[in-house]
Amino acid sequence: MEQHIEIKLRLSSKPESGAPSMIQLLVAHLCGISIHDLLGKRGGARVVLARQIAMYLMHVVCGLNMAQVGACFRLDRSTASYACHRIEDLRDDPCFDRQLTQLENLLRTAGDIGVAL
Amino acid sequence: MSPPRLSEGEIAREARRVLRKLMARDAELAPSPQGADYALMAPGRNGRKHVLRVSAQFVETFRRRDWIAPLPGRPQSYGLTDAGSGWIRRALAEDDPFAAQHRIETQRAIAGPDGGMITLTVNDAESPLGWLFRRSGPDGRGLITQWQFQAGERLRADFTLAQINPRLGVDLTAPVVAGRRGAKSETLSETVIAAKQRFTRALAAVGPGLSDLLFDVCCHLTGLEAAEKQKGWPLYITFNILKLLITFCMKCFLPTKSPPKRRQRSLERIINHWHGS
Repeated sequence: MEQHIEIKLRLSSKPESGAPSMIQLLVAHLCGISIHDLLGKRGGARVVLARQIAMYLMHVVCGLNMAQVGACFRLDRSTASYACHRIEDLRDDPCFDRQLTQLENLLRTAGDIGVAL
Repeated sequence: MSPPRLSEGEIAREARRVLRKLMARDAELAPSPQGADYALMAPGRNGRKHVLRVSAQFVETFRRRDWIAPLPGRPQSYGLTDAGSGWIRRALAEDDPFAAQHRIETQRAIAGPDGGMITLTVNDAESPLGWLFRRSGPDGRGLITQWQFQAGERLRADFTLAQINPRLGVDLTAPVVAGRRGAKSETLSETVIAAKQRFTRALAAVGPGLSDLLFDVCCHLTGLEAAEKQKGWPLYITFNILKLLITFCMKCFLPTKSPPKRRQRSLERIINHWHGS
């Protein structure tokens, strides 16, 4: 049985402060949308996908639970849960999976050097 | 009664004493609570600390010479200007004052051509990473570690060695007549090709959206402020992302274990490409 060691990474800003954290800024930049769109409540398919990727990464890399992830976006925990399931389904596409794995590995390096995400 | 006129020697001596302390981060000249003189305040271990006392006459002289200027928002207090910091850097330099103003000279041991170590004087201020490495953060250590600094320098070394920076003159080795233009590729040595492969692999590992930040700062020596303005991120976020990228790309310089897997992956990409078109 493979053992996974969970490393919790700090976020660079508190969810209640409303300031974007580094992981949100990075995802917005990589998806080519503005941070205001990412933190907003609505948007086109591209904005929604970017928001879901950001939520998924916060859950997987930073080890936040659904309620905490939702709080970072001022959304309900069920929305965050739906986002994580959707990204898991999209990872069946090998190309998307490769890109996401690369980004995950990059973000995990933050734990080694003590940088807050 | 007007105060006695100050001689140049007196001004220079007082300026050396005061401006040197004023170079510290967040140091300022504030009006002293008692009397008409000024007090130099610098951040100490517990809050702000009174460092030394400066007479108002000298402060007025410094202000007239443009070495100090009122701080924005607090017209009573003075901070060091660019002219002032340049003057004190020149005054403190032992030889070649104007070069010392813009350089951070350090000694570095590198491998010589005969296999031994030789010591060279290098200028750490030429790259933003060197500046970050030399500058101490709030905890007294450098803003980046020596390992990260060397990783960035290694990326730049490979960039230089790979000869992919734009040519600034006429290529006289290129044949003038029409025909086979193969001269350039034949002159590339294996060292150059290896450096190019390492460089490409490092940038590819970071990914297309972020490799430009790494490339600009490490290879083109763009300052962090310029990168920050271009991306629209806060400065500390840009700095942290840069640290992250350097650490991550350094992993790609380590030797790979499975070359056959890479060939397979490229084949897969071609097949995907065919399917896509």
